[in-house]
Amino acid sequence: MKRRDFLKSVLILPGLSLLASLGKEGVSYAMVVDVSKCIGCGKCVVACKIENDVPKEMPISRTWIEGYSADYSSPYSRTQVQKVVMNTTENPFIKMKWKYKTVFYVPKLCNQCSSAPCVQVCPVYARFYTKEGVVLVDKDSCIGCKYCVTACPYGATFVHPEQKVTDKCTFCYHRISKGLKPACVLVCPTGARKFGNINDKNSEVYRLLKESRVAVLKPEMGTYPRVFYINLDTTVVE
Amino acid sequence: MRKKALLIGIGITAIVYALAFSYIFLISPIILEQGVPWIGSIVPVQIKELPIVRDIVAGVEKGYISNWFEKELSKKAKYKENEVCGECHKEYLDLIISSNHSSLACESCHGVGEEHSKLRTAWSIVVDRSRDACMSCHLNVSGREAIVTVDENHYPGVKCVVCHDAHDPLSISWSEGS
Ligand code: HEC
Ligand code: HEC
Ligand code: HEC
Ligand code: HEC
Repeated sequence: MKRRDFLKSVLILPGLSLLASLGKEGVSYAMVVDVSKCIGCGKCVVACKIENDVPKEMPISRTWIEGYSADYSSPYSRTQVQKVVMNTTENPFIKMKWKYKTVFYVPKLCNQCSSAPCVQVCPVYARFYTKEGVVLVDKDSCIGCKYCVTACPYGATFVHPEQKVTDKCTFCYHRISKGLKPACVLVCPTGARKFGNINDKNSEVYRLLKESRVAVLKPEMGTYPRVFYINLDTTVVE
Repeated sequence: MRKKALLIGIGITAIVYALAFSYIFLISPIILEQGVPWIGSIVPVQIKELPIVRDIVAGVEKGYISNWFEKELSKKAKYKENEVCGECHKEYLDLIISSNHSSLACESCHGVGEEHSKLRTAWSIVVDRSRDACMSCHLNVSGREAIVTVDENHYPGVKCVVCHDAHDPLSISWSEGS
C-alpha cells in the first residue's frame, strides 16, 4: 500500500462519522422568561418544590422569584434597590410594603450554561451535559463538596438537606424527555416562562428569540446560559 | 530525509487522531449507552462484545458505574397536563378553555394531581375556595401589570367563587339587586 493510500484510508473513519453527524440538528432546550409578564404569584416555586422533592419550608429552591423595587437616579451608582426573594412556599410579595415605586419580579433558575462553571469545577465529574444541553447532577457520584455552590455565579445550586448532595434545576429532565413541560412552565398563569427546543422552527422559544431583544444574566461570566430574559432591567438585576 | 520524517510524523498523528476520534465519537461507553441512532449501522457488533466495553456496560447495569440518564429519566412526573385532568373532568376543561382562565393549568389552583389521578377521591385534591386563593394572583400588589387586578375592597368578606365561577370567571352569577 502506498503511503498516500494509507493516509487516505486512515481518514475514512473520522470522515464518515463527521458526515453522519452533519445535517442532523439535535434538540437544544432553552427557556425564555418574559419579566414583564411575571406577577410574582409564586406558583412556579411551589410546583418546582413538589415536583422535585425539595423541602418546602426551607429557603432553598431550584427556582425562585426575586422581587425588586428600584428608585432610579443618575449617576446609576446612586440607584436604590430593594430586593426580596421568594424561595419557600410562603409568598412575601402579597403583604410586601415596597420602599420604591418601580416594582418587578424576576423568576430565576439554573441557567443551564453551555459553558458551566459547576461542570468545570466538579472534582468527581458528577455534573455533566446531556446531548440536549441540560446540565445534570449525578447524585450517586456527588460527594457534596460544594465547589459547584461557590462556582455558580447565579447561586442556582445548593445542598439538598435530606439527600446531602448538591441539587439544582434540571429543566425537569424527567418531564421534558417525555414531552411534558417543566412544572414551573406548566403552572405559570401568565405565560411568563416559555420552554422549548430552539432548533425547532415552530417552537415558541424559537419565535421569541427571533422576535424580541433578549438578555442573559451575567454575560460577562462567559457562561452562555440557556435561559433568556425579555424585558429584563439589567442595571438592577444581577 | 527531512521530508520523509515529516511525512511519517503526519502519518502517525493522523492515526492517533483517527483512533481518538473514533473512540470518543463512536465507541466510547457514553456514546454506546446513549444509543446515538446511527451507531448501530456503523459500529460492528464485535466492538460491543469487546471485554472492556462489555465490562463497562455490565458495571452500569450493576450500579458500579451509575447510570446517569436512566436515573434522571426514571423519576415520575407528578404534575399532570390539563388534558389528563380533562379525561375525567371534561366539562371543566371545556369550560376553562374558552374562558379568561384559559392560560391556567388546573394544578395552579388545585395543587399537584399525581395522587388524585390514581385515587380519584375528593380528599386527594385541594379545592381552595378562600379569597386568598384568588388573591394570590389577582390582588393589586405593585408590579402586576400582566393581569387584571382587584383590591381588597372588591366585595370584601364574600368569597370570590360566590359570584365568579373559578373556571369561567367572567360569567358572574350575581346582580346589583340580589
Ligand atoms: C381517573 C379520573 C380522574 C382524573 C385523571 C382526575 N380526576 Fe379529579 N376527580 C375524579 C373523581 C372520580 C372525582 C370525584 C371524587 C368524589 O367526589 O369523591 C374527582 C373530583 C375532583 C375534584 C373535586 C374534589 C371535591 O372536593 O369535590 C377536583 C377539584 C378534581 N377532581 C380535580 C382534578 C384535577 C385538577 C385533575 C388533574 C390533575 C383531576 N381531577 C384528575 C376523577 C379524576
Ligand atoms: C382559578 C383557579 C382554578 C383553576 C385554574 C381550576 N379550578 Fe377547579 N376549582 C376551583 C375552585 C375555586 C373550585 C371550587 C368552586 C366552587 O366551590 O364553586 C373548583 C372546583 C373544581 C371541581 C369540583 C367542583 C365541585 O363543585 O365540587 C372540579 C372537578 C374542578 N374544579 C376541576 C378542575 C379542572 C379539571 C381544572 C382544569 C381544567 C380546574 N378545575 C381548574 C379553582 C380552579
Ligand atoms: C394562578 C393565578 C390565578 C388565580 C389563582 C386566579 N386567577 Fe383569575 N386570572 C388569571 C389570569 C392569568 C387571567 C387572565 C388575565 C388576562 O387575560 O388579562 C385571569 C382572569 C380573570 C378574570 C377576568 C378578568 C378580565 O377582565 O379579563 C376574572 C374575573 C378572574 N380571573 C377571577 C378569578 C377568581 C374569582 C379567582 C379565584 C377562584 C381567580 N381568578 C384565580 C390568573 C389567576
Ligand atoms: C359580590 C360578588 C363578587 C365577589 C364576591 C367578587 N366579585 Fe369580582 N366582580 C364582580 C362583578 C359584578 C364584576 C364585574 C363588574 C366590575 O368590574 O365590578 C367583577 C369583576 C372582577 C374582575 C374583573 C375586573 C375588571 O376590571 O375587569 C376581577 C379580576 C375580579 N372580579 C376578581 C375577583 C376576585 C379575585 C374576587 C375575590 C377576592 C372577586 N372578584 C369577588 C362581582 C364579585
